[in-house]
Amino acid sequence: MPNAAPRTNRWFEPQTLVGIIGLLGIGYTSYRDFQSDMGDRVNNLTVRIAVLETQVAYLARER
Amino acid sequence: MSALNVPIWYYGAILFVLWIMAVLTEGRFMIRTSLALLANWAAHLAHYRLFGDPTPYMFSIFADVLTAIVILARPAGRMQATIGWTLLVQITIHSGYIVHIIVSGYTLQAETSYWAWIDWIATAQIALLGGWFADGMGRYACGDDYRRFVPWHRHPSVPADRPGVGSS
Repeated sequence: MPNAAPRTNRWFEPQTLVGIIGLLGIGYTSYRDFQSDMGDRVNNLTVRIAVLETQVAYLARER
Repeated sequence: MSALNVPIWYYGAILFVLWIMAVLTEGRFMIRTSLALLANWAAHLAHYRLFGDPTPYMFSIFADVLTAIVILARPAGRMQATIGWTLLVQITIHSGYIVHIIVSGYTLQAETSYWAWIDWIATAQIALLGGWFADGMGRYACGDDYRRFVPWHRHPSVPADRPGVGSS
């Protein structure tokens, strides 16, 4: 087959490696996000702020 | 209801509309892609109705691998390849959630976050599919031959990427 293009292994192209590294990065980022307790901390802060606001309103009414 | 406060039916309804539009006006590549995404959504809904598990990550990996194979097998262009890559991203996020379950066990915080990640990717998939459809319609509106974009109307006499004769 004189006209056949030479076969190349397409799996070792640079963009494939970049894609795999990107996928691993996204997977790790999602794992760190699942491990994070930031949502709980924000919820706790929100509750704390609500308590403080209630106290401030109560004190303001007293004066 | 999903993490983005969008009813889960909206995803299926939009995918169904895109599939119908693809059948009516587009070629077999978009029909295949939209049908694969619709089947993925329907499979997840059926699994939830049958087993009641809101985060069936092992089933999701299985379904997403099948969907990615269907979409990425000889894609028609960059849009289809990009939609296929979003499936690969979804698979890595399922894997990240599995590692989290193994390391820390179930937490409501992680489940909510996992839902949000998957919902954002599903939204991106619908946006990409819609963008692909709008791109085809835009080309048609600009005067391109409609039949050029419907594969079964195309009869190329030569392959588009034939190797050069005599060159090596």
